[in-house]
Amino acid sequence: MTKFEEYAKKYSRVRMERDDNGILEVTLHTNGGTMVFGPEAHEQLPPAFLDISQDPDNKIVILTGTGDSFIEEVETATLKGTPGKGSRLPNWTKMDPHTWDRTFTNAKTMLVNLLNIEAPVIAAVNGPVNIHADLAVLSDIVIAAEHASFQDAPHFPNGLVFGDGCHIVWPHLLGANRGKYFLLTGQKLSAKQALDLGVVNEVLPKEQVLPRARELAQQLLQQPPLTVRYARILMTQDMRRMMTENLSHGLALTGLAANAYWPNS
Amino acid sequence: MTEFKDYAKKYSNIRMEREDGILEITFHTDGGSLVWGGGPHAQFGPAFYDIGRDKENKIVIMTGTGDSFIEEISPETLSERLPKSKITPTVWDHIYSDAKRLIMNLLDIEVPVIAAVNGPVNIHAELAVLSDIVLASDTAAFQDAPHFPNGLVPGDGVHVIWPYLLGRNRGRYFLLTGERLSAQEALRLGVVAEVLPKEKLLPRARELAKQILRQPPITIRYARVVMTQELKTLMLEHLSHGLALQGVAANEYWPG
Repeated sequence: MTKFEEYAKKYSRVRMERDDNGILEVTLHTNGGTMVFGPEAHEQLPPAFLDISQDPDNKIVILTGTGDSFIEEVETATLKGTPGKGSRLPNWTKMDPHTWDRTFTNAKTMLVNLLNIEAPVIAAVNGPVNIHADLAVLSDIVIAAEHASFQDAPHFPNGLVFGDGCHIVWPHLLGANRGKYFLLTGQKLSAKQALDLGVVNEVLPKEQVLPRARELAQQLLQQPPLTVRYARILMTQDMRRMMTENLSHGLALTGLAANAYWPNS
Repeated sequence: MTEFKDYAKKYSNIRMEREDGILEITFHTDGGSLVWGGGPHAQFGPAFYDIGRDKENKIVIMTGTGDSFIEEISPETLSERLPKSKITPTVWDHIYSDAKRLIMNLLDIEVPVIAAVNGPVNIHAELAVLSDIVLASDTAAFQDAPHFPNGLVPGDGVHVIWPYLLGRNRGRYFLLTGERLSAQEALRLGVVAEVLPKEKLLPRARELAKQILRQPPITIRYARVVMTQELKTLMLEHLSHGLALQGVAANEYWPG
């Protein structure tokens, strides 16, 4: 079993704070500001989620971002790509299977490790997210700021297949046809639209998002510990099975297509 | 990424040696045949996870020590996790977690696994027969002793693997009657690929490992991913359910 102090400060892109009740707040960031997605985030999130999942003292998880957006930019210093629309991989002139293999491994474990956390996850979406919005909307409860929005920018609109789990999450949440439209057109859903479509549960002024997430966390924790944990296991069962069935396949096709076309080449 | 030195000596019931990417893991208790109990139950899941995370492991050979693979249980060490008197849901929760990790982390190892079954296995035989290639000593035998014949529901993954390998009806008969399959029978039923004199077992496993390693690295790894896909899906669907019912029944009746 992993102990909190062993991993709480291990990840430069993931701040972790836990109170006495076992409410773990996971805040995504880059140098204390809004997370700018890049190779470090891509490498750090899978083991961070794994560490969280292996510590039974985490009774509930709140996942949030920093500042005015959840994740909206990619690193442009080390990566080529347009913020909000860019690739998250370095500027290789061409994708190749060995490079892809690394992405394949990280991408396969990121969502699966997140879903393997056996404590309810509440997302406090503090602002727009167009890169890995799946991280937020996979949560058991999704609270969003009024100015938040949801989009899948790095894949199809950027020339890439959306096979890293987006092809599972979005049609599942939005309905099959709405989900495919969302992925293929780069549709941007406002917080209000996401609420109407059932992706988001509550929309609040930004300053109330995190307090409300904490309030809900405390409410859930009034139930007995095994009840809370087993409820989460049941609620993620369907999605975990779909990931096992479809994630490797999706990444394989994404990788094949990326060998033929890569945005920066 | 995990490095070999970080975990090679971490587990008291699993010896690990690696040469040219061929990782040999040998189950044991104090250097002799593995005696199943609380130690192995807690160690195997994390050990398989460490192995799976280290990309320098190109292929895995799994074997036991001495004359049997796993044939004995130590009630004393098991009672560290399972009190002899009564199983409560809180106690069962440990078993539930360990047992899920045991199977899922093994299947998540993304390189081929060759089992060299050095002798009889009647406890957690699924660990051996889940391998991509199963070699058995002519002294080996396969059985599921700790569950139904012992008063417990076969819900920890054995309900998935044995009907999958033996065929539905043969598998259910095997679980319900405590049938013991000899190495020859297991060979005939397709559970085992080759039966060999015990001393030739490990050399043959190493020979096969080297043969597989002639193919390109990504080909080998992805071949394993493809070959485990179906079982992973089956386990995800049925493992938690099986363990839940096993746990409920164990609250009502616990052997000893």
